[in-house]
Amino acid sequence: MATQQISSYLLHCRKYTDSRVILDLLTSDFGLVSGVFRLKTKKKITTAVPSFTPLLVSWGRGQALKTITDVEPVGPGCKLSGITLFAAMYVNELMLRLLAAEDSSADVLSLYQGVLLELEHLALSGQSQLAHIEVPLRKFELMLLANLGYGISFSSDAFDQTIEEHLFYRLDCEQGFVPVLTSDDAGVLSSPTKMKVVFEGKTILSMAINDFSDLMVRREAKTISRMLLKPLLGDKPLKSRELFSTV
Amino acid sequence: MFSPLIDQLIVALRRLPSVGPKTAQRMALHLLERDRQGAENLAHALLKAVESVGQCQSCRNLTEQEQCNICKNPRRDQSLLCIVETPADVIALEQSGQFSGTYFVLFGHLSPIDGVGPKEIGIDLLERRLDQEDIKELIIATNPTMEGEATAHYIGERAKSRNVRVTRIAHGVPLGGELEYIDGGTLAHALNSRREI
Repeated sequence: MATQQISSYLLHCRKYTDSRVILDLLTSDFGLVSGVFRLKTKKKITTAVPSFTPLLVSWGRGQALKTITDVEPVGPGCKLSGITLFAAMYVNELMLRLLAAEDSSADVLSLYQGVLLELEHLALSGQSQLAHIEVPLRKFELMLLANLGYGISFSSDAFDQTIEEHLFYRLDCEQGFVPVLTSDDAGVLSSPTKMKVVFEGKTILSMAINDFSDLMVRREAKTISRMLLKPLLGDKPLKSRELFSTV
Repeated sequence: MFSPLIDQLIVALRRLPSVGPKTAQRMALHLLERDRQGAENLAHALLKAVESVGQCQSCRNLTEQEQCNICKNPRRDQSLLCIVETPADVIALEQSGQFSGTYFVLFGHLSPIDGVGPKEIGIDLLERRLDQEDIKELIIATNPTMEGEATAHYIGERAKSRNVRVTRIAHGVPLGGELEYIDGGTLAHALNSRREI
């Protein structure tokens, strides 16, 4: 059945033939949609499908791989460059790895739009250091996880008790934060090799109110986010993380 | 429909870009019906090229020598290095007749989703060249796509940290092009990089 003018963003474009490409799109009503699209050529100038640009997309028949009939940009693309472009590529890879095909969620599209706008703002205001992009990326990762049903509470622990500022917690990816109370847990806390898996209540509470101004909060948010993403991503690491190693 | 050997030839020809089943069939029948000597020459040339052609040790371009003719040429400006995505880009720039430096061919661009990272496009070799040679300017001529821009930035940062001047080729309206057929993104680029006349 034909589907008309669905709000979308391009996540990835692969060459299929000389004139056709396979597009992986994030759509408002149908989640992740992949399809073959014939690029438009006028007077020997081929127009590529733009990334980070709001699009209206129509497609026809096809089960897993659709036939995309029309792609129209409906607004200006986000002006990303340098490290903000790397960050947006990381977001795209994360989306493609985590989202299931045609699992609709309008919130994911607005989440994606939100992180792109934040990155664009950083790019335009010249804030192009690694520290600057960390905050929007962490917020995005945690919100995406929550949206996909893998979120955890940052204000209460696994036993529904309020997170206490002065206590330490370990992270159980399914249950949430577990207070370090028993002698075994104390062992975790004192063991230098496992120290990184214990988090201070104060920093967890900062994350609960989206306050990432402190360096320690940003570091621990990165660890928490990676721990939560790991079971979903499997053994294959995200390739785009390699881009950040130089900057 | 054909005998196994002809079918095998048709399937083999279909590997070529822009060659579908019909074209492959025409090519195979042409070679077998009218140009057996040409077919033999083609097979011989293909086999020889596949066996002998490798990559230039300096620029990674395709060549059967250790160093390609451009890198070996003493009249080329060795302090000027142009970064391109494919060997076809080298040919395109050479045809312009405007560039007298040397090249570095990435054989692709950074595309994490496709599993292409810095190592896969030879950044380690490029860095070695930047460290060991007296390169004064790096001209980045990757394509103006998202991946091309990311690659340009990645390489640019590495070169700048070694005090090498980094430039990017201009993007905009093609010569002989008509504004009404050009997309908004290209026009925006062209406007941003306008110059006085």
